[in-house]
Amino acid sequence: MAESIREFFERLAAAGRVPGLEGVSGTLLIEILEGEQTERWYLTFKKGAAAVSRQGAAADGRLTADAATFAAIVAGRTNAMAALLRGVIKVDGKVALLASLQRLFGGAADSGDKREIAGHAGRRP
Amino acid sequence: MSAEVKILDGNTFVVSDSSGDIEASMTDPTGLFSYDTRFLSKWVLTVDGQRLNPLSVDDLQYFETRFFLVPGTGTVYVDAKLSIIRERAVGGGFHEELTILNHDDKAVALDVRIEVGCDFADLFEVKDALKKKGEYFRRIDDGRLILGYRRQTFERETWISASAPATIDEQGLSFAVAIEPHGRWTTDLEVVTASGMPGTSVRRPKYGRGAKTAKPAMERSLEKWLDEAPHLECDWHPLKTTYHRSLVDLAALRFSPPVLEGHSLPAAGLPWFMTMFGRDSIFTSLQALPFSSEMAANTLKALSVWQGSRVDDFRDEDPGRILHEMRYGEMTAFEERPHSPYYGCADATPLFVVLLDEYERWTGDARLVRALEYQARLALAWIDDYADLQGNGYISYKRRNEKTGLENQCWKDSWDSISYRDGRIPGFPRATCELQGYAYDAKVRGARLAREVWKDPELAARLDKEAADLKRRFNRDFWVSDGEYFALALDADGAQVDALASNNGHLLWSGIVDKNKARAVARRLMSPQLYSGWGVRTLAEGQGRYNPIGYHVGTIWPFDNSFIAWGLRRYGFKEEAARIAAGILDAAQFFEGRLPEAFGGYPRELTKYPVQYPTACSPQAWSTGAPLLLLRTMLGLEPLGDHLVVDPALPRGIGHLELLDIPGRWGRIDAFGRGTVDVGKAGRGRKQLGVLPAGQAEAGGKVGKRGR
Repeated sequence: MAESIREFFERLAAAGRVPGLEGVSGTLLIEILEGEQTERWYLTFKKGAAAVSRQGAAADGRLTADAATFAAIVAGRTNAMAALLRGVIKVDGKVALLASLQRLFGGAADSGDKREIAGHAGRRP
Repeated sequence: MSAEVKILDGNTFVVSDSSGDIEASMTDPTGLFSYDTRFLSKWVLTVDGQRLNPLSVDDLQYFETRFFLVPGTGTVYVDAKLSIIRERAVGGGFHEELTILNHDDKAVALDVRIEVGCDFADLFEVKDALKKKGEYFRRIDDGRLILGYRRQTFERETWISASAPATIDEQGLSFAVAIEPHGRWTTDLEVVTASGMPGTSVRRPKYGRGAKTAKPAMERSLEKWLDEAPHLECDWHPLKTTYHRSLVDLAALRFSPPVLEGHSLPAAGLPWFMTMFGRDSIFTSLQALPFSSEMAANTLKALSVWQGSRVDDFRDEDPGRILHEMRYGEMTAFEERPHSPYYGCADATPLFVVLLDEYERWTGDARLVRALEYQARLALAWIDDYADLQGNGYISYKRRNEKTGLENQCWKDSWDSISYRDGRIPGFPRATCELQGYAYDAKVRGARLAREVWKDPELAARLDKEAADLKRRFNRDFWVSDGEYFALALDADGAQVDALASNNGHLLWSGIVDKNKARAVARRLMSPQLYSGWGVRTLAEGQGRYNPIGYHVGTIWPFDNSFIAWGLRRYGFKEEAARIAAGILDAAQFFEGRLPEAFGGYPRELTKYPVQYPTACSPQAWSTGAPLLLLRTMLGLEPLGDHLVVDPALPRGIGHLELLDIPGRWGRIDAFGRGTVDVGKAGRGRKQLGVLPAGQAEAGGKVGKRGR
């Protein structure tokens, strides 16, 4: 299990809330394949709150990916939608949950100075 | 290829010739398509080795069609003892009911064959004539012929099967058919787009034998959708045909992207644009609001799910930006195209806020406005933080994806659409004028939502102040004083790109135009340089690049005109708005109520009929929505608190217009309008709209009194 994947879930669990996901609810089972092993993470969204668990509750959707691919996705090196279209990752059930996850993956801007990130000139004084 | 027949269901569609056959080359958009991939490029029926000849084609409904055929092709008449009927319904692939009738009093034995093939082309490859990189496979499995394509982990399959006994080989299906005298033979053929978009696998076509009821990609049936839409009565009958056509086409063009889980929004148009577009879905939802608010809600939800969250140059993505276009084909999958989704448009983000506010004004659904508060705030922040590329307080655009990104990120997105009066083309960034109007409107509407729904008076005050400042600067910097209109854009040096274009109408719609400039703008829009008699041209006659059949440099776009009419009404120019409605609705008659994407900008008195633009997309969602918005502008429908204001201004030729059961926060309300009809001219040809009676020569540029 790549450290970045564990960090991703830990960061999510610590945050507890995800702005922008107020309208999303449901549990997404994320299955990460590494060799013979399968790691399971359950991500539950409810009114903007996010909870992370390793124990199996019923899931509304499932995402299956190998560890290298998922690590690349959470780090922002691989685009999740393109990976899904290529068949590198698979989803069943609620596809909407995966789309919502995009906001959480690496490279996503947080509240820092966005103008600097974009490399654009700022607002006119 | 003979005349094309198109049927569709969401983003799955079939384009065939008039005998029902498909023989696609790599470069023409015929075949069975689903999620931007061609699933069938060959589908040819023969009887005893002979192709068949079409007698007639019945377009039954948007999703089904029926072909009547006889043996023998070409011009030689065949005394046919056989009739062949193919009845095809599209959805999840397609279902085809093939029936052969023997009219002879002798039994016949026939060799019936369907030859099949598929290139699994990405729609982008068809558009740009590109080569495939993966490998094809075919196999026969469990009574099915399977056509497949594989490139690494990317796999797409088409399954073909028949209900009657068939000999299946890798090239097709053969039937040894014996038919009694005056007897018949029939089989069901099923074509399944078995592995398309992941997570949406299909096992059977949507329709089976004898399906007669449409199941559009929405929660209710077509009948119920039509039944729930407001009822229209009008003494000018073509309007009823156009209205009905618009409602049916809008239902047909709906598709349900996987993120909406069964709910649907308008796709942009057949055949190239059967997918989610930020701009098109928003404009169409705005046009349709007085008739159905469901599409607007779904559009807002889907676009918010995909709202940009990072800086990604390949996708021209920024945090808060609303997507331009989503695609599901192979080239998108392998990142040879950036559409997963692509964000390169500069208008969808402010328009997202405009739609959210307009939706609430009609429906009173504050719950959705609260649920999307975060997204709307991000969209508003994008205008200032990411879209102001030049630091001059205006939205401008310049693609960061230099290879496959879009150069023009406004609705006029062809290469030559933005020019100076003398025809020169400016560099980048470009700040087109309508973008500033949308930004202004988004700030004003965002302020209202902040004040009334989000309870954030501080944000409201800031947005109001920014809007007022933007308006003041815009009226100074974009005003072409020697022409009395607004420049099409500012160039990279901040100088005016001074061509006269239809964008001025969108500025009226946005409200950014100073009151004391509005009359001059309306006069310009109705002048012979811009107004052809059918509608306002995208670019005025006399400008360097004007061409009456140039995509964005002279043609007339019904969608554009519907928003121009809305803009004219906003500033009180009722009569002018009615003239726009008259021309466009009259033109619709020539297309049996289905307005194309665009038609030629030739003067009306020259051609007498609207000349269709050669490769226009049809049906196209925002053209389909244009008559709906024109009904709104003719009746002067405007929500005011929990009431609907009705203030009709009908074009000459419409005596009465009723729209009954208009849904909204008021429940349902009826609107009535009365107008003038010229009597005593009955029976003299077609009853036209938009042509003034003799003696009242059309004074180009005449602008009536302000109505308010």
